[in-house]
Amino acid sequence: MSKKKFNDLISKKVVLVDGATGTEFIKRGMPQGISPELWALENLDAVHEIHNSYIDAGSDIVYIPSFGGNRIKLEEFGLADRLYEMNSSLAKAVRENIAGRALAFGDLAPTGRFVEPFGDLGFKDAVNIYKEQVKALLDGGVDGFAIETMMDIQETRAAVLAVKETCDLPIIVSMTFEENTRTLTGNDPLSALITLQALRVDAFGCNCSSGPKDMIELIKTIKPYAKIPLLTKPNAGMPKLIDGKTVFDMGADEFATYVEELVAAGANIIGGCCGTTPEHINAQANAARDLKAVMPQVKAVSAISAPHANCLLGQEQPFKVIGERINPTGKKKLQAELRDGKFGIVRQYAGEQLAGGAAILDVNMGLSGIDEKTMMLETISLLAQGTALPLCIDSTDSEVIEAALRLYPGRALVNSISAEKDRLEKTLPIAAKYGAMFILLPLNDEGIPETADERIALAKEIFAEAQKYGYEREDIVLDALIMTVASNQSAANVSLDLIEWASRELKVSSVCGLSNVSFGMPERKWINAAFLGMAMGRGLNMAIANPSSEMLMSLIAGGDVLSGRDQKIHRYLDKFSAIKQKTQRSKKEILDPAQRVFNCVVEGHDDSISDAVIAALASGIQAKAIVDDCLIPAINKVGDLYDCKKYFLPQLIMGADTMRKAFEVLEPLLAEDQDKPAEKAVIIMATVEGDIHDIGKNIVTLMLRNYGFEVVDLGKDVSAAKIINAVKKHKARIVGLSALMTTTMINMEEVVKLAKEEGLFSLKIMIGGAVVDKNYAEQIGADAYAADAMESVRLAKRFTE
Amino acid sequence: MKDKVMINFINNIPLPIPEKKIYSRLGHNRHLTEMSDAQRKKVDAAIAQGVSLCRLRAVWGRFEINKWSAERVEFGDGDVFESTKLAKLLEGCKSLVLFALTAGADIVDRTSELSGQGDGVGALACDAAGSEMVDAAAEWLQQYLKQQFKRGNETLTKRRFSPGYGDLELENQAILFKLLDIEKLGVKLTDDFLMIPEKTVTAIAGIKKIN
Repeated sequence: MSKKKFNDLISKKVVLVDGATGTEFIKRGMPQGISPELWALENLDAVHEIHNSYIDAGSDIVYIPSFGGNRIKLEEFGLADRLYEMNSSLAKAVRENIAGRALAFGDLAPTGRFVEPFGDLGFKDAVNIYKEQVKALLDGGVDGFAIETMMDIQETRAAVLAVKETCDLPIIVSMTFEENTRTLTGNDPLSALITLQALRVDAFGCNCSSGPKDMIELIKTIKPYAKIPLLTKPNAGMPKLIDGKTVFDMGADEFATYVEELVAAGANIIGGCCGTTPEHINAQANAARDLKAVMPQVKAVSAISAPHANCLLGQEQPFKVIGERINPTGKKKLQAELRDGKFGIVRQYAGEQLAGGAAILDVNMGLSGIDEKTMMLETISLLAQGTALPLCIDSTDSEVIEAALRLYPGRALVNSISAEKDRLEKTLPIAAKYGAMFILLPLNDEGIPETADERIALAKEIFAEAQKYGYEREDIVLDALIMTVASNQSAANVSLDLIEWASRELKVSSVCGLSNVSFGMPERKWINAAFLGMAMGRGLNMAIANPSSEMLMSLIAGGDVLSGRDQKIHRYLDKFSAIKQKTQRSKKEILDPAQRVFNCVVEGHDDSISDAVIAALASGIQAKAIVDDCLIPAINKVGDLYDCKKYFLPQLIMGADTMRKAFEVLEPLLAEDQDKPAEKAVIIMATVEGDIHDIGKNIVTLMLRNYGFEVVDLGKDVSAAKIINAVKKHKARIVGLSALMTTTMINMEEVVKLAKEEGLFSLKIMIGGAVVDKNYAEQIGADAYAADAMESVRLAKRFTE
Repeated sequence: MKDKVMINFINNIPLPIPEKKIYSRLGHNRHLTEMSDAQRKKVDAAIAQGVSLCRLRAVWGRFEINKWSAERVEFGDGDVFESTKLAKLLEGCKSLVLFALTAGADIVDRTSELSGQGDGVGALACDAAGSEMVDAAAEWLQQYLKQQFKRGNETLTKRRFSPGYGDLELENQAILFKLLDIEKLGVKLTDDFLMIPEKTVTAIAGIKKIN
């Protein structure tokens, strides 16, 4: 069946697919623990009977029972060598039986393995595994393919590509969404729709996991963005466990009551999954007979997607910043890391740009001395897992773009396609194959045209070429090609004209590499900011920039208010209302320097304590008075708040940390007042031998230091001998030991014993850790047990008084 | 009928951030703790950094139980767990599933680095994020396996068990390492049977027929 015929069918009526197959097999005697595909092949009469009932009930399409017919699933039953025979014979038999009364779709379903980059099954291998099944089904004879019950977008993409690269038959895809409206691997329906309709599947929707009621909401949510028909195959209600059996107990009549709402929500194809029977489908068919399906409302959707999130573009959407930092050009540290095959900075940049407010991450791996393709693929794997943001694939090499788009588990934005011969002939068809959006760069092999009119002519030429591949306005973003005003002051105006033309005439999104405008100028940020404001006024709605610039992001927030992209001004108010409160409070704090020092410690403002102390000194308060009247009362208050549980551990540490910073400023002044500085008591800290869990010990160490003790931290997995040697060497008065495991806490006793053997009778030993307590401390002869960091401090004070 | 043991690796487990659990691991008390906006912002940022450094990877495999008694369970190719408590959990199960999950080395390295720099809040938040992310990943994996086994009319025991719990000696980690090839996740087992990086868990659960 051609895709066109399939679409004709959809446009005429609400199309009915079949209901459950597995439960029908069990009813007809299929035992547990065997391959359902093998059972089907050996019981073709049962298969025909089920299909005949569904066709009589009204199914326009039935699924060939090849659900688990891929190599990986069949291998579990030792049947992989029969793959071709089983799939082709099933297809042939089903098609012969239905003899044109309905359409027979080959059924592809999960392999049960996780596909690269989310698992160890290579993407290429996954595509080949599905291709093998697709070819066998095609040889038997099918009218199309149903890829169903998918829970991972990457495996779904592999199955879709397998079909697309083997034949031109219709593909309908349904994924299985849990109660939280995501698949078990976290894919959400809208991102999945964006990804799969870009790959030009012929219908998308959901099956299994939920009943018809939940699917109504799901379909409603994605319908406005669907340029393809939508499909639902709900279960007969939600599963209930009755007498240890999973039961779907929604009857056919009740099941059919949801049809009207499903169709109104936007479902074009309906059927049933677990627990549904020919009666359910018949009831659905009757309910749908006079209903008119809602055809897709949009021809194209300006959106890109990642596995777990998406980004909607367009003039009515918020201004989007494409984070520019994952690009080695001009970044020596990143270059060195990439040359060593390391990705630490890439991860760091991804995190920082997300936190800064980027909507998309640009990825460019163009660097001499590295294999761009390999590094691009590694980065995509890393970012597909490490960030929620969709990616912009930035390369001049069509091979790199192809490899990247093939692996990327979403719909990417390609940066970029120009009128250069190579880009039009090679990159454009590749972008089209994977349905990627692209940045249109109005330049050609002769270079960048100087005037806006020339650039407009080139943009039209590229867009016309792209339309031949099915591209619409919504699928492209025009690059305004901003050049520096340092060499040509009219450059900014040319780009502004281009932006205006893109938004008002061509009606596409526009973007620019913002900082290019100020290249070679001093204090570039002012030029960048001024240009951004002017460009937003002309319709610019995207920029490739560094989102860590607070000024830039604030300008954008303001621009979105003025351009109406921030509807009801919610985002702006969210962003800035906290700052307003902070400013008011700061004013109050400035009035009283001593109070300000006190507040800094209590609230843990370690970044402003130095200024507060200096201000207090400047106002005439003596160093000793700051300690006695501000810092000590403040840290005692922090301790009290912690004791009554109003503060938790991070706040306690913040307070102590702030106090330490205050002392750093005051110490030289305090020393001037004393003839001889007091000697600090030394404490040895260690996690005992055999144990590597040292976070508790580290926190206690930090707290003790913040309270003015000198701490020698010996680290983790430290032997008793080493600890005692350190005690002698540093003349320590206290030892603090930690252990997290029952198997290692026994080594604490070794330390206590050795201390006694060595005659260190005045040494105080305190212990702590999840598995020890006061009794254990007494049992091994330790001096004390500290339940937490605060108690350690108190004990240390007591021991040194 | 199923006759092949397949070891499955998962490179990335998608999880919503278990923020409440991370806070409560840090000692936050929903009813009592009071935080200023600045304090919350600081802790939130530290947690976000910790979460971003967790790379949740897992491996799992299913093995047939060959012999069961109240004290020992023999499975796969003759491997044995000796533990009355584990045997009780696996009572009536035809198979068991072994799995391992890790948050990777980055989060642990960063925690040490922050401790070394004196950033206690950062270190604590990273540590808590690592622990809670691994725990949440274990919950996710159990849910995923349940879904996988559902089609075969099977389900997973509600509870899971790990070497070092109750009377199942820690030494049994070696069996899981051998059968699941856990080193492929970048996790090493020390001579004392500790797993490095430390934000790693292993577990055993039973597979039951639904009927």
